Amino acid sequence: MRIRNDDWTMSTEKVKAVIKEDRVIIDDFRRADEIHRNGFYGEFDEKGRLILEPVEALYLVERGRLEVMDSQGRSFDFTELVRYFSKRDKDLWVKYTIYHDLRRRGYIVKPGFSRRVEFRVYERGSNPDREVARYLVCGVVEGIRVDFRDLARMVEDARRAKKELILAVMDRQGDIAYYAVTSISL
Amino acid sequence: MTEERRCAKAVMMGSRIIVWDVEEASRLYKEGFYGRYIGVPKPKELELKRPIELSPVEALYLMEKGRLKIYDEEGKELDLRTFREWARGIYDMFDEVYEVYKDLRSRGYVVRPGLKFGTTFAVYKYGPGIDHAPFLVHVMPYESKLDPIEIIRAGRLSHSVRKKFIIAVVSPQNKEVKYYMFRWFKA
Repeated sequence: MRIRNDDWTMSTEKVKAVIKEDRVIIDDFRRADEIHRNGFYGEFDEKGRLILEPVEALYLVERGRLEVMDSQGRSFDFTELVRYFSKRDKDLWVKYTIYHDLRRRGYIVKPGFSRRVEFRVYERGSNPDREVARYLVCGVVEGIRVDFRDLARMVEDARRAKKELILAVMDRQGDIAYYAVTSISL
Repeated sequence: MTEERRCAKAVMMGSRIIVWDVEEASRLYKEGFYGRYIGVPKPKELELKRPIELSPVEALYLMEKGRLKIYDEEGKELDLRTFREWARGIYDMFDEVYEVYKDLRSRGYVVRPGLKFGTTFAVYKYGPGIDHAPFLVHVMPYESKLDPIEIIRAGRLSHSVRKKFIIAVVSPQNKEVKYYMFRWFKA
């Protein structure tokens, strides 16, 4: 297991971001670019603002790189932020646990396109602005059975996107094991 | 050799299906690894002078192929429907297990019980004793949902016995068999 230690040589000062519904926005382009380049967090919008997904914002807050505030300038700590996002997305904590685990292992992780617990995962050291993700990681949780129709859809989505499907199986304490799934014709 | 001679005769003994005639028995084993020689779990030779026991899926498959006739203890011949009904009663998920068996056999594989590996089938390209690395196929009902614990078990099992582990499900609409392979992924 490899633990990634990002190198924050750019600045030790926290980058300020503002929460807006279920997104977190960094206005200052210079600081945004710094965040984006060091781990490919977020996506820039047409105004040059960096838009972070909840899991990305949480990860950066937990690592002490980001300070998230509401429009009144009131700052959120990590747990307040978790509570805030969990109200909007019941799977937030599951998503974050898997996101965190993959990031910690050094992968570059981007949110998936479907409504399930899903990520596009890039090989370590790759550049998501130029390359495509190698894996589609879908989360499943102990105690919740997976319908074979859903499994078939995951397999199909991965096949169409030319990615390897990985199931992240999370136990009831948040421990995660990864399994690759392929649909095969014999 | 006429078709008549190629059709073996099996007798039902309680819930077991036995081919008593040793010539017919060894022919079935030799030609497609059907059945198991009674009292010989791992035959060293293909041809033994012993009766074989057939599993219900094998029996139905051979019956459909016209290679087997099945008689009850009173000597009355069973038709396909009666036999299938009976098999459903003694074997859980018989229809799904049979669809998968038939699908694999039709693709030319040798399909043997996988109970000792913890799965429905052990599947060989050529046959037991010839290729030593069967892949393991476990049949699950489509309507059941996949417990994440099954995924772990599948991955663990394939890793520990170094065999491909495949879950097979039969689509209820078109009877199409889907095969999913699980393997542990070192993240």
